[in-house]
Amino acid sequence: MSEELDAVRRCRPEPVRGWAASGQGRAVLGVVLAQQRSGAGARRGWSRERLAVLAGAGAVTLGLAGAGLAGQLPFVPGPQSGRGGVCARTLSAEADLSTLPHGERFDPHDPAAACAANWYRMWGDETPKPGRFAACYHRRSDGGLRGAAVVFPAEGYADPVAACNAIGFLPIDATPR
Amino acid sequence: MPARSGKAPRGHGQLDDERKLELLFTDHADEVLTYLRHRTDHDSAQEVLIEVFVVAWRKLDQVPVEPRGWLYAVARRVLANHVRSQGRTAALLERLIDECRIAPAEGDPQDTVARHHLLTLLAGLAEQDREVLLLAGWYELSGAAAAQVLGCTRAAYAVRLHRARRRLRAAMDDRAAPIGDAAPAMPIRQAWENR
Repeated sequence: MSEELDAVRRCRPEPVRGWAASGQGRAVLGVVLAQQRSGAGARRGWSRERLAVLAGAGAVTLGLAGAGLAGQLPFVPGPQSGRGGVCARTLSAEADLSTLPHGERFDPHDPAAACAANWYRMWGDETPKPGRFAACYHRRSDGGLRGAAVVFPAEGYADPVAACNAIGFLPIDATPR
Repeated sequence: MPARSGKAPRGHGQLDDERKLELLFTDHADEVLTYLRHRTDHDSAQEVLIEVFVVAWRKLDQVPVEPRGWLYAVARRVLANHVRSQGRTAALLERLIDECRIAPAEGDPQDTVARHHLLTLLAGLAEQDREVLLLAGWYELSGAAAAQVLGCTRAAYAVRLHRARRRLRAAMDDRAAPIGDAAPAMPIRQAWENR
């Protein structure tokens, strides 16, 4: 490398590391997969205005792969900001999803609380806030996990396990402290 | 019970493609995000990154084995069309220069001075020169990959890089780093104020 390029290299800022594997990265991957599955154009649901409101997330659909129920899993918000995970507007494998507004974080011990507290900021006043929520993971057909943790409305279900199971997702163990 | 999806089950081909995309994302999303964060804010970078990987999925059969140049090229194109595209590295350099001034990195203060000096010189170059220098120096792309990012031939890239290096060299010679006995104490501010 020439002296000039060596000098340029020495002033290189630190690269991003670990984001792709973080909760936020997995949420973004989930958006990519959902957009492609839905056959939508690349920009669908990602208008700047909506992003500004939702702090980085748009309406997307989440595909369904398999059904069933396994043991409960821990909520992993991601190592950087705790903003990994997303909130769903309805209890559906194809629900609209949103990340939390900027500056808001999930509590791994009570991930539903953040979705409840920010409900109207994410979905507007016209969407009634559910009384109950369930945190779930999407499960791949090969048994692995895909995408970010998702907090769904869970009204009408006895517990989060039943709600997640109803749409083929796996419940997240969010045992209160 | 809520209604289940009415969509037909996905075929194995799509599942395979999804797996490939996940691997591509896992291996290279950090690099693409780094590239984008050098050019725009974090939210816009994520938004563009989504589009980059949607394009990658649509064109999986075109993604080369060493995909960085291809991914950066898509990112560059998407960013150029982005509503809030900065498309320029000048803002990043201004921020880095500011960081040098306000919060010098740990280590040898003279390194901080030299870094500040070089960043200032880079900020003073034309965007076209800066872009080619960063492709070679920050991302350490091969000539072929860098040419792919810029959408030009390897020969054209080599010429651009040669000219950019020459202009940076001239700037370095014109404004030698102010490193002396007082370097640790004052030169950062002086260099900033003398820009």
